[in-house]
Amino acid sequence: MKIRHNLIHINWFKLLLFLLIGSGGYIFTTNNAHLYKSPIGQVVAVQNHHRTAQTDNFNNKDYQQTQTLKLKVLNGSYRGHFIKLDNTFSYSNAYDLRYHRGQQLFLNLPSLKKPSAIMITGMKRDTILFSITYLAIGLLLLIVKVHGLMALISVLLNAVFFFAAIKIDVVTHATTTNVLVIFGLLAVLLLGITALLTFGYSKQALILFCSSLSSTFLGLLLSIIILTKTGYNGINFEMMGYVTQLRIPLYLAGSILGALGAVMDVATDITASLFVLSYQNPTLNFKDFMRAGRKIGQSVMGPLINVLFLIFIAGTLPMVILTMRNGNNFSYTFAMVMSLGIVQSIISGIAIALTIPITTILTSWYCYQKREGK
Amino acid sequence: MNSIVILAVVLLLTMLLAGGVSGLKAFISLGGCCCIVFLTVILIAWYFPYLWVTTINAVIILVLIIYLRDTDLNSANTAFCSSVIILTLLILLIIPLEHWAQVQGFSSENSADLESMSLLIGFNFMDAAIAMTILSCLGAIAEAAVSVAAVLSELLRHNPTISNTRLAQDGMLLGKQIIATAFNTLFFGFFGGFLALFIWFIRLNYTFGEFLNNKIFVVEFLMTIISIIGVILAIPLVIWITILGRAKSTTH
Repeated sequence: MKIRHNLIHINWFKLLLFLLIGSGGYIFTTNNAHLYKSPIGQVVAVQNHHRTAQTDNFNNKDYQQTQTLKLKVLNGSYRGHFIKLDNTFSYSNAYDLRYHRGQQLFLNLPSLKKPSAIMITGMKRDTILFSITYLAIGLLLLIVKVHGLMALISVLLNAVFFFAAIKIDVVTHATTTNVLVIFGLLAVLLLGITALLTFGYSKQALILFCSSLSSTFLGLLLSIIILTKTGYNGINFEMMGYVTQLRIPLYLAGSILGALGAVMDVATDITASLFVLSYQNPTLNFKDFMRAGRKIGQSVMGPLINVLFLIFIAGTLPMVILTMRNGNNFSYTFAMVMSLGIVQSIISGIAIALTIPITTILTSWYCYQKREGK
Repeated sequence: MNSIVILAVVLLLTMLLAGGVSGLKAFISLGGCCCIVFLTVILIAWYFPYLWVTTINAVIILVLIIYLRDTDLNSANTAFCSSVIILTLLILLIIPLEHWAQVQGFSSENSADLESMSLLIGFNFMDAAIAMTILSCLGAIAEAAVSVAAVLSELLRHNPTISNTRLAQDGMLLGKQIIATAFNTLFFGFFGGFLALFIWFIRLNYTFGEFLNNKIFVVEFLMTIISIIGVILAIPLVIWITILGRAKSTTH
């Protein structure tokens, strides 16, 4: 008990304030329909009808069921009106949903007189987005206090520049080379901001910046050379999702950005530890620094590459299951659905692994040089 | 020659260059995780109970990440215990969260990929959404837990008489750095993985409201936030378990 007490001091006033703001936010997000332009209806009554069994060409057994929803329109010119609407859903819920009372739905509502034109276009999910983000921020402030805010500011700032870069990409209708230039510059900018926020305006930040930049660049260059030399054999870019422009540069740009955080993670660990080491032991030589840096890098490399691998590959799971259930074997599914995620993890992995020698050499050289100069 | 094979060989070479034997171990751990993820997906697609399959394989993935790494057994044990506890807590959070958000299945943005596919496959996509979220947070939990545990055990080795309060304070100080870097890793992973989707949103003039309530965006955002909650929880938990382990070893 005593241990926990030392770790986290619970301030009841702050906890109450936290809960109060949280409930305020929750009530706001459930009652903010007037902020949306598209009509929103709340489900007030549901009537479920019979199930019809369905069997597809691959002998998958499913059912379809229709429900009649009674909705109350919450905003727009039909505010306060009630409408009735049929919704068909299946057991699998692949492209449909079963709705429940109390849920708020986005509607396509041209007029009340033509019920056939009324459609559900999506579900309102801002309440859940707010609640989980609020929970995460609350935990962050509870456990690491004000320091947590710096991490949040860093993420928010990065997000702003990220969307600005996308806007530039869209407005300029970027061509092949431009896409890489835009997102390459974005990567440089984000690296700079994060390095400054991590170490302040210092030599350490400069080393972090230079080593992350050169590792990411080298890793990407190496990957591009391999990909073009092998003619992108075995990678199905045509299966990339949400594509609105040329696929390969878009994919590479995504890979650079994806690897950046992890590369900086390794580089931060190495530079921070070596700077502390040089401060504590003024007698170390260049080789000692190299050995220490390598040891730190080695211990974080494996878990970090795994972090990215799991993020990139887990998202493909629903598509993999759908493809396999559509009578395809695993090797076809792998090639079609999973290979892009695997390649992205490998590209990131190469950049992360290269960060270790590059950062170690740069930091060791600087720490040793500074000593010699004295 | 297949590009993926060549890229994997180059990855192995750079990992060997960076870390020698421990680079090789990290590569084996990565390969192992890859196989376990494939196994999970195949078993789920074959109607095995998804929650058992995912949970058991998640624990195997944690073992692969935590134990195939150069560190003393004590800190690995601490990291593993904390990761399993966090995994349990997160699963208890993920299941109601996914049911509340109803983000299973596909969205209209996927319609091009779904052409000529049968959608009535008799598999509840809610299961896939839960399994996917559980798998995606494992790396982040394990990474945070091993980092804190390793440094705490290093502190204890250098200064075996350090007080628990001091150990907890130093651990928290370190935890702040770990959270900041983990945030970056996760958010850049998120931005990089979904660059194409974000471009799609902006190119097709989605309003801010459409964007925030979009199914795919919410799925991805939930995955990232869940990982972040896991990372945040890892710090006090690892400190606590280290202190408990210390009390145990002194009474023996």
